[in-house]
Amino acid sequence: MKVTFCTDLDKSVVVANCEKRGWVQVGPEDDWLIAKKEDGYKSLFSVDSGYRMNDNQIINHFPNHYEISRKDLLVKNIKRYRRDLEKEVTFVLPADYNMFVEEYRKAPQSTWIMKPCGRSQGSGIFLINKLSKLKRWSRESKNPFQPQLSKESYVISRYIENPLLIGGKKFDLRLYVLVTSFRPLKAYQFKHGFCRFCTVKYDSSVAELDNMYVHLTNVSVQKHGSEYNALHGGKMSVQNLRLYLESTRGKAVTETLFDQISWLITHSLKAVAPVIATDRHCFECYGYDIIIDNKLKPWLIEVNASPSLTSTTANDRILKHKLLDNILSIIIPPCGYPDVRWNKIPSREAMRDFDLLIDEDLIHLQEEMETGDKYTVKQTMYRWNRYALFNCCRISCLPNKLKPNLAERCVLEL
Amino acid sequence: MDEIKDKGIHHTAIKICEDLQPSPAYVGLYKEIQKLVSSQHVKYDDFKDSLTKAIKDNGIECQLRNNIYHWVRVKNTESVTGHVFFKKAQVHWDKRIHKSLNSMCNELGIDLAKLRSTAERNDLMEKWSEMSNYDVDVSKYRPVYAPKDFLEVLLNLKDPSFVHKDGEPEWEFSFLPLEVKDLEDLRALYTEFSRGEQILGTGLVGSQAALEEERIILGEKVLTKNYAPVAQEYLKRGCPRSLRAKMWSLVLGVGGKYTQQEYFHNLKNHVLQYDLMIDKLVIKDIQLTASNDDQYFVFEDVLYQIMLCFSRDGTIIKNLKNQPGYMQVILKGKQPTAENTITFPPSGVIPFHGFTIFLFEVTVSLNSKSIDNIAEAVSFPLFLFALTWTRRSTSAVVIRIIIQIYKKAKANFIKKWYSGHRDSRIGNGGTVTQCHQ
Repeated sequence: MKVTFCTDLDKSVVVANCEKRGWVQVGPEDDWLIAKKEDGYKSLFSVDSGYRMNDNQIINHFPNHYEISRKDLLVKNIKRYRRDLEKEVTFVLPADYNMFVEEYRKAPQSTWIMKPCGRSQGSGIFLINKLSKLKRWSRESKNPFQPQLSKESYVISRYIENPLLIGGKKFDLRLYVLVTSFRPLKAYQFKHGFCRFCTVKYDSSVAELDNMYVHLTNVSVQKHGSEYNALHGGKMSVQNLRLYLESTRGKAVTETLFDQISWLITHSLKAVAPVIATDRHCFECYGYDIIIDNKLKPWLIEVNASPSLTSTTANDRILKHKLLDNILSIIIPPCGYPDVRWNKIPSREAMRDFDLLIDEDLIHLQEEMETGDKYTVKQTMYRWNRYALFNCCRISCLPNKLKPNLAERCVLEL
Repeated sequence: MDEIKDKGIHHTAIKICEDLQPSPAYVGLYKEIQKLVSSQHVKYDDFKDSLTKAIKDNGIECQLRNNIYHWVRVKNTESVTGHVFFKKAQVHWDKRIHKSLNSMCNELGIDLAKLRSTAERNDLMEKWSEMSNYDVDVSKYRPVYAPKDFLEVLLNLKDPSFVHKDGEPEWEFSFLPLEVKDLEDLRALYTEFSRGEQILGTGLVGSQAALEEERIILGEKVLTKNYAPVAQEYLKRGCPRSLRAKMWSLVLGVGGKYTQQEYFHNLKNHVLQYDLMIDKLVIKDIQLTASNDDQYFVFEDVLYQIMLCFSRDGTIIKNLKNQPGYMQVILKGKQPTAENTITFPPSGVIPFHGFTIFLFEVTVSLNSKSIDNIAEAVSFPLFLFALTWTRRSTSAVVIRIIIQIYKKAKANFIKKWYSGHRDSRIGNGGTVTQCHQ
């Protein structure tokens, strides 16, 4: 039987990767086995469509991935995940306006960033440092503080005013994470990724507050700047970042930072896992945006369910081609044919440049094997951490005594 | 006999003292000892012994030793006699480069050196930390030469006294006689190369991570000793990335000391004061290479600062074994007096296409945030020496790096390179018998 694929995204990296495997492209009306869709998938999952996927069909989205990719819902889910939250730094406007004002008054000097919940690529984002500015904004937009009438809600969070700068410029990290299942959670982190640099030197002064070339790292924003260089596109590989940090800050702290990033990702997925309508036909690749502050602490900025597959530079194309190739390698069972009855445990070789972040199936397997475990800890949460630690090959090369500490710290800091 | 020896030591000590006194490190050292003398560790009735002990206990002895180590290193570079043939080749090359510099100036109607106007100076000063925004039209400038031009010149060097023996293989581009008769002599001549120590991480069995961890632990011990020769020995076998900045600084005797910051500021002032044609070449080179590269672009602004200051650093030309050629240029529109004449280029180094790229390791390893660290990086050629030892690499790569140094410093290392090159050939087997013939 031939593998067929269907895509509504006419990107060469997608088509080339599928065709390389001898798959045949078909239209949405035909019988497809693997779908890569950006717009059409919503109707596919709706009840009225009458479409039911068979056991050999898989698709690159979960029905309600917006739980993680929409900024407000991610906030909501993470909040629920850590109920014992002591300090709140992100609010959904207009719903949380009063809470925000209370928080704002505690530190009136700080800067806040406003982002529309459903938009992407840096559009509609602005910074504020005065409550009056927010009020003016609310007057100008039509029905600001009546949620039922307002068209667009915003998240407002404390702006990270001390980002790590390299060469005086701000950057964020774009990392890729593949999720093949949410319950049990199965997630893989792509080894490669890149830093997106601002083209203009960072300056936290009020005068530069409106200069988005200083503050926003999105390529879609930066490429309009006069300093944009199309050859490197302001992108530096994560490997180079690691080298730089190892050289200037030392090896141990660099390792800790990257471990914390892996934890951050795992926790964010864990936070949404209960509400995602899991479906064995689905897999999804997320683009994680992370900012590192000058104390080398990672901050999750947002998660994109449809990370851009457009290549701005040659290296970009190589990376995205590899990403697609490795995703396909993980989601296809060893038989080479999509099958939802497969246990979704790929071999080490099939993972290629992905690292296992967490696979709860494997954790349970290991748990069953280790009867009479002398380390048993009552809290499920902690147990999960501990097992994840031992399962993630990237972390297990740390000296043993470090591990429990690391786990605790990550839980607290999220 | 002992008496003569004692006298010899005494004389050396006097010589070292004389040389150290004007050095920038001396002031700091002297101050620290003065502080120590006034502390309670030093006793009046047992002055000499208690002072010696206090110096030892407070790590000043180590500083003193490091200073002497750096003194010896500089001394060594002074007493080398060059081969006449190479000297000639070098002079020829220098002339060629200077000629093309001059003709480019004529063609573009510019001057090799002139004073910057106040407005220009202010503009440059304002954009000093963000030189990528410094507007200067360099579109008409072109790199004076590319590495490949230089390699071509090297490959065509033919020593008139070189005789090709029958039965010797054609080595394609080596027309220079070996200085040694056999392998034993060769080993004796290049003891550093023949120690047979493997650079760590090449062809080793076992885990790389474990090796690195072990190496870091050892390296940290070395750093706590704070003694340059030990660090140098450590570097010879490879240094983990995270310790390179500290190790290099220790070996080269640089660091964010006050005197060095001052030194750096003097270089910077020189840049602000004089508009040299070479600045444009530097800017052009960075624009052609680093600005467009996805590894380097982040460090672009730092590279401008380092490269411009480096171009003004006169100690470089002073410390090179074989003096490279330089020009004496009179500032535009000035009287030809001594104060209006400057050495061009001040550092003796004319950047070639891709010169900037060699700075990468330095910019990545040193935290570029603070100005004193940029000052550290100014002793760049010395860093390159360190690089040849720190790269975990096969001999081929070492040779490549040596060639790079060679290109940079022009004919200064010609002897070493050729011999080094042959050395590796011999190391590869095959040609060993040739040496015995």
